[in-house]
Amino acid sequence: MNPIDRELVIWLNGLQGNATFIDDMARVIATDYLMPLLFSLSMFAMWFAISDRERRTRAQYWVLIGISSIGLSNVAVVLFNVAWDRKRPYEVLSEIELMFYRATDPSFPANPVAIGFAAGSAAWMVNRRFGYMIFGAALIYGLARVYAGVFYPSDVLGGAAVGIAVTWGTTYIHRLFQPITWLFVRLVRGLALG
Amino acid sequence: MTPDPSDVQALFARHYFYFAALATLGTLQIAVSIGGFRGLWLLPGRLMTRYLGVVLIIAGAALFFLMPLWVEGPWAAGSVEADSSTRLWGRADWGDLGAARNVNDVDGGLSGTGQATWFPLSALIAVIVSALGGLINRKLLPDRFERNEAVANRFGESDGLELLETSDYLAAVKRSWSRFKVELADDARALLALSDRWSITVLAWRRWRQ
Repeated sequence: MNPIDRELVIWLNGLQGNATFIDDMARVIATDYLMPLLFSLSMFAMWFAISDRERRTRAQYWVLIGISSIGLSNVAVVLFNVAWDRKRPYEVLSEIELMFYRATDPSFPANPVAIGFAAGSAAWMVNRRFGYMIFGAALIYGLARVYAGVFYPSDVLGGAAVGIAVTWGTTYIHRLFQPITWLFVRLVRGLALG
Repeated sequence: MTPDPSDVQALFARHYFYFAALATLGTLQIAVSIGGFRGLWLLPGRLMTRYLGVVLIIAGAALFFLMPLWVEGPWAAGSVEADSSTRLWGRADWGDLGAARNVNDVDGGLSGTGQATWFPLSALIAVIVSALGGLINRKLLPDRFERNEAVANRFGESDGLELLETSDYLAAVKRSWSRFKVELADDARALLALSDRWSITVLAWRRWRQ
Protein backbone atom coordinates (compact mmCIF):
# COMPACT_ATOMS: atom_id res chain seq x y z
CA MET A 1 0.00 0.00 0.00
CA ASN A 2 1.12 3.52 -0.82
CA PRO A 3 2.36 5.05 2.51
CA ILE A 4 0.98 8.52 1.65
CA ASP A 5 -2.43 6.97 1.00
CA ARG A 6 -2.26 5.09 4.29
CA GLU A 7 -1.15 8.12 6.33
CA LEU A 8 -3.77 10.40 4.76
CA VAL A 9 -6.70 8.07 5.38
CA ILE A 10 -5.60 7.43 8.97
CA TRP A 11 -5.16 11.19 9.57
CA LEU A 12 -8.48 12.22 8.01
CA ASN A 13 -10.44 9.38 9.60
CA GLY A 14 -8.74 10.15 12.92
CA LEU A 15 -10.33 13.62 12.95
CA GLN A 16 -13.77 12.13 13.61
CA GLY A 17 -15.11 12.35 17.15
CA ASN A 18 -13.88 15.92 17.70
CA ALA A 19 -17.15 17.60 16.68
CA THR A 20 -20.47 15.74 16.53
CA PHE A 21 -21.89 18.26 14.03
CA ILE A 22 -19.05 17.69 11.55
CA ASP A 23 -19.37 13.91 11.96
CA ASP A 24 -23.12 14.09 11.28
CA MET A 25 -22.60 16.37 8.25
CA ALA A 26 -19.97 13.99 6.88
CA ARG A 27 -22.40 11.08 7.29
CA VAL A 28 -25.17 13.00 5.49
CA ILE A 29 -22.84 14.06 2.65
CA ALA A 30 -21.47 10.52 2.36
CA THR A 31 -24.94 8.92 1.90
CA ASP A 32 -25.84 7.28 -1.40
CA TYR A 33 -28.64 9.77 -1.97
CA LEU A 34 -27.73 13.45 -1.48
CA MET A 35 -24.79 13.98 -3.84
CA PRO A 36 -25.89 11.63 -6.64
CA LEU A 37 -29.22 13.48 -6.69
CA LEU A 38 -27.33 16.78 -6.79
CA PHE A 39 -25.34 15.59 -9.83
CA SER A 40 -28.55 14.52 -11.59
CA LEU A 41 -30.21 17.84 -10.71
CA SER A 42 -27.27 19.75 -12.16
CA MET A 43 -27.84 18.01 -15.52
CA PHE A 44 -31.59 18.68 -15.27
CA ALA A 45 -30.98 22.38 -14.55
CA MET A 46 -28.55 22.73 -17.45
CA TRP A 47 -31.25 21.54 -19.85
CA PHE A 48 -33.60 24.41 -18.97
CA ALA A 49 -31.56 27.31 -17.64
CA ILE A 50 -30.24 28.94 -20.84
CA SER A 51 -32.45 31.34 -22.78
CA ASP A 52 -30.28 31.72 -25.90
CA ARG A 53 -31.27 28.90 -28.27
CA GLU A 54 -27.84 28.20 -29.74
CA ARG A 55 -26.15 27.99 -26.34
CA ARG A 56 -29.02 25.97 -24.93
CA THR A 57 -28.91 23.42 -27.76
CA ARG A 58 -25.19 22.97 -27.10
CA ALA A 59 -25.87 22.61 -23.36
CA GLN A 60 -28.56 20.00 -24.04
CA TYR A 61 -26.14 18.02 -26.19
CA TRP A 62 -23.72 18.02 -23.25
CA VAL A 63 -26.48 17.03 -20.83
CA LEU A 64 -27.07 13.91 -22.94
CA ILE A 65 -23.34 13.20 -22.92
CA GLY A 66 -23.26 13.78 -19.14
CA ILE A 67 -26.14 11.35 -18.53
CA SER A 68 -24.51 8.70 -20.73
CA SER A 69 -21.17 9.29 -18.98
CA ILE A 70 -22.74 8.76 -15.55
CA GLY A 71 -24.04 5.37 -16.71
CA LEU A 72 -20.80 4.40 -18.46
CA SER A 73 -18.70 5.47 -15.44
CA ASN A 74 -20.50 2.80 -13.42
CA VAL A 75 -19.57 0.24 -16.09
CA ALA A 76 -15.93 1.41 -16.07
CA VAL A 77 -15.78 1.17 -12.26
CA VAL A 78 -17.14 -2.40 -12.36
CA LEU A 79 -14.44 -3.33 -14.92
CA PHE A 80 -11.75 -1.87 -12.63
CA ASN A 81 -13.27 -3.80 -9.71
CA VAL A 82 -13.00 -7.05 -11.68
CA ALA A 83 -9.34 -6.33 -12.44
CA TRP A 84 -8.37 -5.22 -8.92
CA ASP A 85 -10.17 -6.23 -5.74
CA ARG A 86 -8.73 -3.53 -3.51
CA LYS A 87 -9.81 -3.94 0.11
CA ARG A 88 -11.48 -1.03 1.90
CA PRO A 89 -9.41 0.91 4.50
CA TYR A 90 -11.52 -0.39 7.42
CA GLU A 91 -10.82 -3.98 6.29
CA VAL A 92 -7.04 -3.49 6.19
CA LEU A 93 -6.13 -0.84 8.77
CA SER A 94 -6.93 -1.47 12.42
CA GLU A 95 -6.72 2.30 13.18
CA ILE A 96 -9.75 3.06 11.01
CA GLU A 97 -13.06 3.82 12.74
CA LEU A 98 -15.89 2.99 10.31
CA MET A 99 -18.63 5.62 10.19
CA PHE A 100 -20.58 4.12 7.29
CA TYR A 101 -22.10 0.79 6.30
CA ARG A 102 -19.76 -2.09 5.36
CA ALA A 103 -19.48 -1.79 1.59
CA THR A 104 -19.27 -5.12 -0.24
CA ASP A 105 -17.56 -3.97 -3.47
CA PRO A 106 -13.87 -3.11 -3.97
CA SER A 107 -12.50 0.29 -3.02
CA PHE A 108 -10.78 1.47 -6.24
CA PRO A 109 -11.88 3.63 -8.01
CA ALA A 110 -14.43 5.62 -5.99
CA ASN A 111 -17.69 5.09 -7.88
CA PRO A 112 -19.54 8.13 -6.46
CA VAL A 113 -16.62 10.42 -7.35
CA ALA A 114 -16.51 8.98 -10.87
CA ILE A 115 -20.17 9.87 -11.50
CA GLY A 116 -19.65 13.33 -9.96
CA PHE A 117 -16.71 14.04 -12.25
CA ALA A 118 -18.60 12.65 -15.25
CA ALA A 119 -21.44 15.12 -14.59
CA GLY A 120 -18.92 17.88 -13.78
CA SER A 121 -16.98 17.35 -17.02
CA ALA A 122 -20.16 17.71 -19.09
CA ALA A 123 -21.11 20.84 -17.13
CA TRP A 124 -17.57 22.24 -17.53
CA MET A 125 -17.91 22.06 -21.31
CA VAL A 126 -20.94 24.36 -21.08
CA ASN A 127 -20.02 26.67 -18.22
CA ARG A 128 -16.59 26.57 -16.57
CA ARG A 129 -17.76 27.95 -13.20
CA PHE A 130 -20.69 25.52 -12.98
CA GLY A 131 -18.35 22.67 -13.88
CA TYR A 132 -15.88 23.61 -11.13
CA MET A 133 -18.76 23.74 -8.62
CA ILE A 134 -19.76 20.16 -9.48
CA PHE A 135 -16.10 19.04 -9.37
CA GLY A 136 -15.90 20.63 -5.90
CA ALA A 137 -19.07 18.86 -4.74
CA ALA A 138 -17.73 15.54 -6.04
CA LEU A 139 -14.41 16.07 -4.20
CA ILE A 140 -16.24 16.90 -0.95
CA TYR A 141 -18.31 13.74 -1.45
CA GLY A 142 -15.14 11.70 -1.87
CA LEU A 143 -13.44 13.30 1.13
CA ALA A 144 -16.52 12.63 3.30
CA ARG A 145 -16.15 8.95 2.39
CA VAL A 146 -12.43 9.01 3.22
CA TYR A 147 -13.36 10.64 6.55
CA ALA A 148 -15.93 7.84 7.07
CA GLY A 149 -13.23 5.22 6.46
CA VAL A 150 -14.55 3.63 3.24
CA PHE A 151 -12.15 5.08 0.64
CA TYR A 152 -8.45 5.88 0.29
CA PRO A 153 -7.50 9.30 -1.15
CA SER A 154 -6.14 7.49 -4.22
CA ASP A 155 -9.60 5.94 -4.78
CA VAL A 156 -11.00 9.47 -4.95
CA LEU A 157 -8.32 10.56 -7.44
CA GLY A 158 -8.89 7.38 -9.45
CA GLY A 159 -12.66 8.03 -9.48
CA ALA A 160 -12.08 11.59 -10.72
CA ALA A 161 -9.81 10.36 -13.52
CA VAL A 162 -12.32 7.66 -14.53
CA GLY A 163 -15.19 10.21 -14.61
CA ILE A 164 -13.25 12.66 -16.81
CA ALA A 165 -11.87 9.95 -19.11
CA VAL A 166 -15.27 8.31 -19.56
CA THR A 167 -16.88 11.65 -20.46
CA TRP A 168 -14.16 12.27 -23.05
CA GLY A 169 -14.71 8.75 -24.45
CA THR A 170 -18.49 9.20 -24.44
CA THR A 171 -18.23 12.17 -26.81
CA TYR A 172 -16.76 9.76 -29.40
CA ILE A 173 -19.51 7.21 -28.75
CA HIS A 174 -22.10 9.92 -29.40
CA ARG A 175 -20.25 10.98 -32.54
CA LEU A 176 -20.26 7.36 -33.65
CA PHE A 177 -24.06 7.43 -33.67
CA GLN A 178 -24.59 11.05 -34.80
CA PRO A 179 -26.93 12.63 -35.73
CA ILE A 180 -29.10 10.62 -33.30
CA THR A 181 -28.26 12.81 -30.26
CA TRP A 182 -28.93 16.01 -32.25
CA LEU A 183 -32.20 14.57 -33.57
CA PHE A 184 -33.23 13.68 -30.02
CA VAL A 185 -32.66 17.28 -28.96
CA ARG A 186 -34.69 18.36 -32.01
CA LEU A 187 -37.51 15.97 -31.05
CA VAL A 188 -37.62 17.36 -27.51
CA ARG A 189 -37.79 20.87 -28.96
CA GLY A 190 -40.79 19.64 -30.96
CA LEU A 191 -42.36 18.82 -27.58
CA ALA A 192 -41.64 22.43 -26.52
CA LEU A 193 -39.10 21.25 -23.92
CA GLY A 194 -35.85 21.72 -25.81
CA MET B 1 -35.95 -8.16 15.18
CA THR B 2 -33.87 -7.10 12.15
CA PRO B 3 -35.86 -5.66 9.22
CA ASP B 4 -36.71 -7.52 6.01
CA PRO B 5 -34.65 -6.00 3.11
CA SER B 6 -37.72 -5.90 0.83
CA ASP B 7 -39.61 -3.77 3.41
CA VAL B 8 -36.57 -1.49 3.72
CA GLN B 9 -36.28 -1.17 -0.05
CA ALA B 10 -39.95 -0.20 -0.46
CA LEU B 11 -39.59 2.40 2.29
CA PHE B 12 -36.39 3.87 0.80
CA ALA B 13 -37.87 3.95 -2.71
CA ARG B 14 -40.94 5.85 -1.45
CA HIS B 15 -38.91 8.35 0.57
CA TYR B 16 -36.38 8.87 -2.23
CA PHE B 17 -39.22 9.56 -4.63
CA TYR B 18 -40.61 12.30 -2.32
CA PHE B 19 -37.13 13.82 -2.09
CA ALA B 20 -36.46 13.62 -5.84
CA ALA B 21 -39.93 14.92 -6.76
CA LEU B 22 -39.60 18.03 -4.57
CA ALA B 23 -35.97 18.64 -5.56
CA THR B 24 -36.57 18.25 -9.32
CA LEU B 25 -39.59 20.56 -9.14
CA GLY B 26 -37.49 23.09 -7.21
CA THR B 27 -34.58 22.80 -9.63
CA LEU B 28 -36.90 23.18 -12.61
CA GLN B 29 -38.41 26.32 -11.08
CA ILE B 30 -34.96 27.85 -10.54
CA ALA B 31 -33.81 26.88 -14.06
CA VAL B 32 -36.90 28.17 -15.88
CA SER B 33 -36.83 31.39 -13.88
CA ILE B 34 -33.21 31.91 -15.02
CA GLY B 35 -34.11 30.96 -18.62
CA GLY B 36 -37.23 33.17 -18.54
CA PHE B 37 -39.62 30.37 -19.62
CA ARG B 38 -42.73 31.83 -18.04
CA GLY B 39 -45.00 29.04 -19.31
CA LEU B 40 -43.38 26.71 -16.72
CA TRP B 41 -43.40 29.07 -13.74
CA LEU B 42 -45.51 28.04 -10.76
CA LEU B 43 -45.73 31.65 -9.55
CA PRO B 44 -46.26 34.84 -11.54
CA GLY B 45 -42.96 36.61 -10.70
CA ARG B 46 -39.42 35.57 -11.70
CA LEU B 47 -37.90 36.08 -8.24
CA MET B 48 -40.84 34.48 -6.45
CA THR B 49 -40.47 31.43 -8.72
CA ARG B 50 -36.75 31.22 -7.96
CA TYR B 51 -37.27 31.46 -4.19
CA LEU B 52 -39.99 28.82 -4.41
CA GLY B 53 -37.47 26.57 -6.16
CA VAL B 54 -34.94 27.00 -3.35
CA VAL B 55 -37.63 26.30 -0.72
CA LEU B 56 -38.75 23.13 -2.55
CA ILE B 57 -35.19 21.75 -2.75
CA ILE B 58 -34.53 22.44 0.94
CA ALA B 59 -37.95 20.98 1.86
CA GLY B 60 -37.19 17.79 -0.13
CA ALA B 61 -33.81 17.29 1.54
CA ALA B 62 -35.15 18.15 5.02
CA LEU B 63 -38.09 15.76 4.61
CA PHE B 64 -35.83 12.92 3.46
CA PHE B 65 -33.29 13.27 6.25
CA LEU B 66 -35.75 14.16 9.05
CA MET B 67 -38.43 11.59 8.25
CA PRO B 68 -36.76 8.87 10.42
CA LEU B 69 -37.87 10.97 13.42
CA TRP B 70 -41.56 10.17 12.84
CA VAL B 71 -41.58 7.26 10.38
CA GLU B 72 -40.53 3.78 11.52
CA GLY B 73 -37.73 2.19 9.52
CA PRO B 74 -34.34 0.45 9.84
CA TRP B 75 -33.09 3.21 12.12
CA ALA B 76 -34.45 2.45 15.59
CA ALA B 77 -32.86 4.75 18.17
CA GLY B 78 -29.47 3.47 19.23
CA SER B 79 -29.14 0.85 16.46
CA VAL B 80 -27.88 3.04 13.58
CA GLU B 81 -24.22 2.75 14.58
CA ALA B 82 -24.45 -0.99 13.91
CA ASP B 83 -23.92 -2.40 10.44
CA SER B 84 -26.94 -1.89 8.18
CA SER B 85 -27.79 -5.63 8.25
CA THR B 86 -28.19 -5.69 12.04
CA ARG B 87 -30.25 -2.57 12.64
CA LEU B 88 -33.59 -2.61 14.42
CA TRP B 89 -36.94 -1.34 13.13
CA GLY B 90 -38.29 1.78 14.82
CA ARG B 91 -38.06 5.58 14.99
CA ALA B 92 -34.76 7.43 15.21
CA ASP B 93 -33.62 10.03 17.74
CA TRP B 94 -32.08 13.38 16.75
CA GLY B 95 -28.62 11.99 17.40
CA ASP B 96 -29.22 9.10 14.95
CA LEU B 97 -30.27 11.24 11.99
CA GLY B 98 -26.82 11.60 10.41
CA ALA B 99 -26.40 7.84 10.04
CA ALA B 100 -30.06 6.80 9.63
CA ARG B 101 -29.98 6.74 5.80
CA ASN B 102 -26.67 4.90 5.50
CA VAL B 103 -28.07 1.50 4.58
CA ASN B 104 -26.30 -0.75 2.09
CA ASP B 105 -28.37 -1.59 -1.00
CA VAL B 106 -27.89 -5.32 -0.32
CA ASP B 107 -29.73 -4.69 2.99
CA GLY B 108 -32.57 -2.73 1.37
CA GLY B 109 -31.05 0.68 0.62
CA LEU B 110 -31.88 2.09 -2.81
CA SER B 111 -29.33 1.07 -5.46
CA GLY B 112 -28.02 3.33 -8.22
CA THR B 113 -30.32 1.54 -10.67
CA GLY B 114 -33.28 2.21 -8.40
CA GLN B 115 -32.38 5.90 -8.24
CA ALA B 116 -31.95 5.97 -12.02
CA THR B 117 -35.54 4.72 -12.30
CA TRP B 118 -37.13 7.12 -9.83
CA PHE B 119 -35.29 10.26 -10.93
CA PRO B 120 -36.67 10.44 -14.52
CA LEU B 121 -40.18 9.81 -13.16
CA SER B 122 -39.71 12.71 -10.72
CA ALA B 123 -38.43 14.90 -13.55
CA LEU B 124 -41.46 14.06 -15.69
CA ILE B 125 -43.82 14.88 -12.82
CA ALA B 126 -41.96 18.17 -12.22
CA VAL B 127 -42.46 19.16 -15.87
CA ILE B 128 -46.17 18.24 -15.80
CA VAL B 129 -46.78 20.15 -12.54
CA SER B 130 -44.88 23.18 -13.89
CA ALA B 131 -46.82 23.12 -17.18
CA LEU B 132 -50.09 23.03 -15.22
CA GLY B 133 -48.83 25.89 -13.03
CA GLY B 134 -48.03 27.90 -16.17
CA LEU B 135 -51.54 27.27 -17.53
CA ILE B 136 -53.10 28.50 -14.30
CA ASN B 137 -50.82 31.56 -14.32
CA ARG B 138 -51.92 32.37 -17.85
CA LYS B 139 -55.60 32.13 -16.87
CA LEU B 140 -55.10 34.32 -13.80
CA LEU B 141 -52.71 36.88 -15.35
CA PRO B 142 -53.35 36.91 -19.10
CA ASP B 143 -51.97 40.42 -19.64
CA ARG B 144 -48.41 39.39 -18.64
CA PHE B 145 -48.33 36.72 -21.33
CA GLU B 146 -50.03 38.88 -23.95
CA ARG B 147 -47.58 41.73 -23.49
CA ASN B 148 -44.67 39.32 -24.01
CA GLU B 149 -46.43 37.63 -26.91
CA ALA B 150 -46.78 40.96 -28.71
CA VAL B 151 -43.03 41.55 -28.31
CA ALA B 152 -42.22 38.00 -29.48
CA ASN B 153 -44.38 38.25 -32.59
CA ARG B 154 -42.18 41.09 -33.79
CA PHE B 155 -39.26 38.66 -33.95
CA GLY B 156 -41.03 36.09 -36.15
CA GLU B 157 -41.45 32.32 -35.80
CA SER B 158 -39.93 30.33 -32.98
CA ASP B 159 -40.45 26.94 -31.35
CA GLY B 160 -39.40 24.87 -28.34
CA LEU B 161 -38.72 26.44 -24.99
CA GLU B 162 -38.61 29.96 -26.52
CA LEU B 163 -42.35 29.78 -26.99
CA LEU B 164 -42.75 29.29 -23.25
CA GLU B 165 -41.39 32.79 -22.71
CA THR B 166 -44.67 34.07 -24.12
CA SER B 167 -47.23 31.28 -24.01
CA ASP B 168 -48.42 28.35 -21.93
CA TYR B 169 -47.26 24.79 -22.55
CA LEU B 170 -50.30 23.60 -24.54
CA ALA B 171 -50.02 26.45 -27.03
CA ALA B 172 -46.23 25.98 -27.24
CA VAL B 173 -46.34 22.23 -27.86
CA LYS B 174 -49.00 22.63 -30.57
CA ARG B 175 -46.88 25.15 -32.49
CA SER B 176 -43.56 23.35 -31.87
CA TRP B 177 -44.88 19.95 -32.92
CA SER B 178 -46.37 21.21 -36.19
CA ARG B 179 -43.07 22.92 -37.02
CA PHE B 180 -41.13 19.77 -36.04
CA LYS B 181 -43.18 17.64 -38.46
CA VAL B 182 -42.64 20.09 -41.32
CA GLU B 183 -38.90 20.54 -40.71
CA LEU B 184 -37.91 17.00 -39.65
CA ALA B 185 -36.78 15.74 -43.07
CA ASP B 186 -34.70 18.88 -43.82
CA ASP B 187 -33.24 18.91 -40.31
CA ALA B 188 -32.30 15.23 -40.51
CA ARG B 189 -30.54 15.76 -43.86
CA ALA B 190 -28.70 18.82 -42.54
CA LEU B 191 -27.63 17.01 -39.38
CA LEU B 192 -26.47 13.96 -41.36
CA ALA B 193 -24.30 16.28 -43.44
CA LEU B 194 -22.78 17.71 -40.26
CA SER B 195 -22.02 14.27 -38.76
CA ASP B 196 -18.62 12.58 -38.98
CA ARG B 197 -18.04 10.43 -42.05
CA TRP B 198 -17.30 7.47 -39.76
CA SER B 199 -20.65 7.74 -37.95
CA ILE B 200 -22.53 4.41 -38.08
CA THR B 201 -25.75 6.26 -38.88
CA VAL B 202 -24.13 8.08 -41.81
CA LEU B 203 -22.63 4.85 -43.14
CA ALA B 204 -25.98 3.05 -42.81
CA TRP B 205 -27.75 5.96 -44.52
CA ARG B 206 -25.29 5.94 -47.46
CA ARG B 207 -25.57 2.18 -47.84
CA TRP B 208 -29.36 2.32 -47.76
CA ARG B 209 -29.43 5.02 -50.45
CA GLN B 210 -27.20 2.93 -52.74
